[in-house]
Parts: sequence; C-alpha cells; structure tokens
Amino acid sequence: MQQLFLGTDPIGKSIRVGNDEFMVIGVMEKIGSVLGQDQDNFVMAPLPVFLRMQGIHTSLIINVKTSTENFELAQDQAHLVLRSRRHLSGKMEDDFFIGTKESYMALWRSISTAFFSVSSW
Amino acid sequence: MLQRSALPQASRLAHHARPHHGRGHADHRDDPRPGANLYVEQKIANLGTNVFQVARTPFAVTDFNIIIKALKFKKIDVDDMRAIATVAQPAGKLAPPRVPPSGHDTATKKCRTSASPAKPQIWRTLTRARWSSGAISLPPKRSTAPMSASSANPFAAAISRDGSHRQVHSCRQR
Repeated sequence: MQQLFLGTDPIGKSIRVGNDEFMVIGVMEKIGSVLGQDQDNFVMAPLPVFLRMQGIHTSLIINVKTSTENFELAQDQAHLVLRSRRHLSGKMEDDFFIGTKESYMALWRSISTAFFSVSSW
Repeated sequence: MLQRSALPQASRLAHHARPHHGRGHADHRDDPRPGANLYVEQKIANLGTNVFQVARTPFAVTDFNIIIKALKFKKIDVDDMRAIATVAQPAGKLAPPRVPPSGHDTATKKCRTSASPAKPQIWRTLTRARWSSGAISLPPKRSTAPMSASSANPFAAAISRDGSHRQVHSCRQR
C-alpha cells in the first residue's frame, strides 16, 4: 500500500488484483518479513470472489477461532465432521491435517533441540 | 563488526524479532523472553489465540514424502468449510455459512436438498459418537419433544435446535 499510494489514504481507492478491480476498504497493520519473505504482500477478499478468481477446486486452508473452553472440543468436532464427509472409517488415516500454534512450536522445539545438540556436540 | 558476526544465531534472530508489528500478538509486546523461540512463536506460528488450522497438507514437515502423499489427498473445498462452520458456529467466531437448510420445508411442503453441509449426517455422526462414548443413552423417539441441548456438547445443541434432522427424517419417510 505504501508503494501503491505513496503515503495517501488508500481507503476508498481501487486496486487491481489479477484481472479484477477491488476497492480498498481497509488496510492491515504492517507485519514485516519472516525468514526473508515479505508477509505484507497479500489482500483479503470475499470468499466467493476468491473462488471465482482461483477456481472452486482450490484447496482451502481453514482457520477456526473458538472460545477457550471449546478449543479442544471444536477440534474434535471438526475432525469428526471431516472424517465423516470423506467417508473415512475407523482404521483409515486422516487425509487432512489440523494444526495449532502448539504444533508449530513442538516442531520447532524438536528441530532446534536437534540443531543445538549437534552444534554443541 | 566482529562482535556482531560473533553473535549466536538465536540472538540475531531475537534482535530482528523484538520490534514486531503484527496481528494478534499484542499480548507479547512486552514479552522479555529472548531468542528464536520467541521469533517462531510470534512470526511463524502466529495463528492467534484459540485458533486451529485445517488444511490438506501439513503445515511444517521435515519429510518431503509426506508432502507428496498429502498432495494426493482430497482437497478441502467450500463444502468442508461450511460443514465445519455449521458445527463450529456455537463457538461463535466463524462466519455463518450461507447454506440453504436441508430437509422438509414446512412452508412449501417440499423436500429441500442441498449439497452441503448435510446437517442430518453430521447430527447422526455426532450422536453416534456421543452414544458410543457413553455420554448419552439412546435418543428418544422422534415423535416426542425435541432433543434437548446437552451441556457436554454445545455443537450438537445448535444442530438439533432447529430440528432439521427430524424434518429430513419425515421427508425420507415419504
């Protein structure tokens, strides 16, 4: 946004994303870069518009926000619903993944533990 | 210059991670913990509080074969999202699904069908799971009062609240 509108207020102005033109109704706070990748280069669009642009066969990543007391329960329910929709019986593995912040951190801890143990060795 | 390059990698990462500006981690602004753990927590695993993610492929893996295997999985489409939204709606934070209700339309006296989210199927699955876990006994007859919402399962309460499963049942009897 800073490069497109050069310090002016972008709200209400239009930008072109792909072949479609959008009106800016809000901007996100600057995030910065993560591991060298710019995290601010994205747009948020209504889901029907996104599906029209990308096709309905695009695989989605769903973020579900729940209340604190229902967090575990909501994961179980989402797991159950997806297994039901995909006709997975009891012995079949999941063909989807449910991840949380803790799963990221657990993976990072396993990687960093191995890395630092090797470097100290 | 020599001192900067002699810094351990974790300290350099923490140096970059300190002045963070982003979504959902205002509560970590004054977090005194240094190091790469903080960087990963705030920059990479920044999903927010009480958020879980559903995807076809794993989020971070060390084995490339898992990625290859996951790419052959069925895609997560809008119907899956609507189905999750249906059961997760009592949690209150997912957009309400724009799905026409399934079942028997009492106004037009016709049987409505929709591709998703198949509320009766979800209700049956949830009920079966609760019954097998011993949380509930066998459901009452459908001619009796509507199923009461169980405090142990708030999602089942929302599904049975509108009574759509009973309407579909009567629809199928025809």
